[in-house]
Amino acid sequence: MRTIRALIQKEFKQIFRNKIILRLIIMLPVVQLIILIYAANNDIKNISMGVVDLDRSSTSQKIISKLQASSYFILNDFSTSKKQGIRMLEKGKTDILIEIPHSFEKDIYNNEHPRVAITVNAINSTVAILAASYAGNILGGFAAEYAFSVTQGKIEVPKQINVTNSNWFNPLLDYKSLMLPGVLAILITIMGILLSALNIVREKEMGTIEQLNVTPVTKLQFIIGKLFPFMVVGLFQLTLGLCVAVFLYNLEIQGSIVLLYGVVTVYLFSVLGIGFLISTISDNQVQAMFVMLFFMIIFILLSGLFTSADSMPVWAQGINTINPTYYLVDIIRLVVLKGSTLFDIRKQMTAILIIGLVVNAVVIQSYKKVV
Amino acid sequence: MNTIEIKKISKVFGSKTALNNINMSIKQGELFGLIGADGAGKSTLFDILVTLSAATSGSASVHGFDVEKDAKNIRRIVGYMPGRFSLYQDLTVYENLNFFASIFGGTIEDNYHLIKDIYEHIAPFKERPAGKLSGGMKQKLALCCALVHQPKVLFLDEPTTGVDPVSRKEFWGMLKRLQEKGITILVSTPYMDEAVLCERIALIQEGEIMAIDTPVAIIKSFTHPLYSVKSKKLYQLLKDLRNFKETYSCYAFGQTVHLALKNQDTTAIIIQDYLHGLGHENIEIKSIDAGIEDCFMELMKKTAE
Repeated sequence: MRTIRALIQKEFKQIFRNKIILRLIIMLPVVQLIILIYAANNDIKNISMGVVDLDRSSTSQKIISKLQASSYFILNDFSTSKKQGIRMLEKGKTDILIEIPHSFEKDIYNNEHPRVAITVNAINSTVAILAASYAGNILGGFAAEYAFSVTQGKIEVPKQINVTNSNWFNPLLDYKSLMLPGVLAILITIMGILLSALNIVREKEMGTIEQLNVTPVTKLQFIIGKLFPFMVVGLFQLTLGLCVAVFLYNLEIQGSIVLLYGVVTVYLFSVLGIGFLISTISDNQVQAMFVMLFFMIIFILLSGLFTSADSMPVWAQGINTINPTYYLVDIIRLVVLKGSTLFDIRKQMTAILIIGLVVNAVVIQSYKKVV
Repeated sequence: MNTIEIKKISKVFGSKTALNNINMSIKQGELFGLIGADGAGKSTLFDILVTLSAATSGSASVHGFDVEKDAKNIRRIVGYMPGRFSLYQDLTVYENLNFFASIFGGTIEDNYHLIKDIYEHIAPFKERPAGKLSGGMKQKLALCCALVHQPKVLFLDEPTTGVDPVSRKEFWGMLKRLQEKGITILVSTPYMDEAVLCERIALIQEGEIMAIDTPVAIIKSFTHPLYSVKSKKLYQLLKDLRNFKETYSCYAFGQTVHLALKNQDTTAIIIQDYLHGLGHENIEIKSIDAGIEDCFMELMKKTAE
């Protein structure tokens, strides 16, 4: 016990004395949460719109102003020919081109099929799909009401089923609510692996591990002496992150805070173990960095933070069964947004715990005092 | 009973044999020196004895504990000071000492009598990070940390390498006093002049022990007449002496050449005449007693033959 206490004390002293690491521990959750959440926003607004109005009628004017009135589009270009409009699209000045043919108003009155062409820059497919569907919705709505009014009900508007959705657990479809818990999970992961992997490799580089190996310190004591301080650091970062979420973003935490801390503690146990594992196979900090990046990128991209993990191919979902970050992103969202209880997340928790036990067992096995 | 017993220890790294069939016994309370150049295998032998590395073949015991089977017990009773400074550079002098006392389950006060002499030298800097100490201070701190749990056996791997001559002398004085307190000390060094400060020494070269004895006995075993020769052109002198028919061996020692002769009859005058005939100027020839380094050179020559 005395030995473990001495090891833990030593570790904390080193953390507090390393000014860069200390700043990183405090700044990372705060700054990154502020920047990432605002920047990584999935709401599409201010789409740059170009218009080619060949009809130049009062009806076409009404359509254009209707589009402009929505918060989605900004009219940036008014071309006189389709060719010119396309050129603006190609130059990237506009993202969507609305073309109204010259017989547009006439077609409406003659009960023909009036057409409007929408051309979208689909380099960013998410923007393209959303822009086209926003424009389609606006035009469809316009067509229904306008055609009805100008023809005094002579044209029969097709019956429509009005679908309304209610978004549970995130009623306003607020992207921040989805991202915040996820980003928090990633931050804990990055700092956890970073601190643990680099720490032991540094002991190797400085030769201090050799000195420790010629003492009665056992492998288990050594690992506990490393796990505990970094767990405290991780939970401290969780606290900072939750403060930012609650006080800056007014995020309401639905589930139990205690459960959240419990989950993250178990998670840190497994993710720190991965860091230790990286450090046992690396001889220096540069090597450790590269191995770490390799794992971290896979963990994070597959975690379901940015794209839904359920729609990933089967092999990717297979990898996710041993990806602790995938479980944590899921759990944090469930607990924070849905208010899930320990019983609800028992499967994910068990998975994280098993990963942690296996990884740490391997670490203790592969950490050799005698070479 | 011998405190350290080494039997037929060999260590092979890939295709390179670092240690070849080493046999050695070190008595209780001895100050034993392992003398050899860089790469001779000193650190490899240390690593095996302090349980950091396993021998390829052979067996060894420290204080009655087998290095393989009783590694845990050995770690309790040995103090080890690696060749490279291996304490926490970001912890202060006091914190390092306190840390190493604590992980052995003790306190600094428990064995303060043992480190008092040494610690007093560094006590004024006890709030300073270990990484910011001078070379000599670092060695003293490392020695304190190796001693703070009152070890039975002390392993010091090149403790004086890179340390100034004054600190080196001081350091050896400390080792003598520790020996008087009954601690068995195994120390390695590449400096031949430090060999005479040990009770017994082993000369090691390319993983093999060339001789084990007291420094005096090793020096006595050097039977050839030895001269220190000097002239204006050192390189030419060395070349000419190599061709001298009476020469047994000759090596450059700083600014002079140490010349060992084949038989006792050859006098300084004969050498003088020989060199004079070859046009050497300012010739100085002195009869000298052999040192450890001369013995080392001779042993190397014998091994090579």
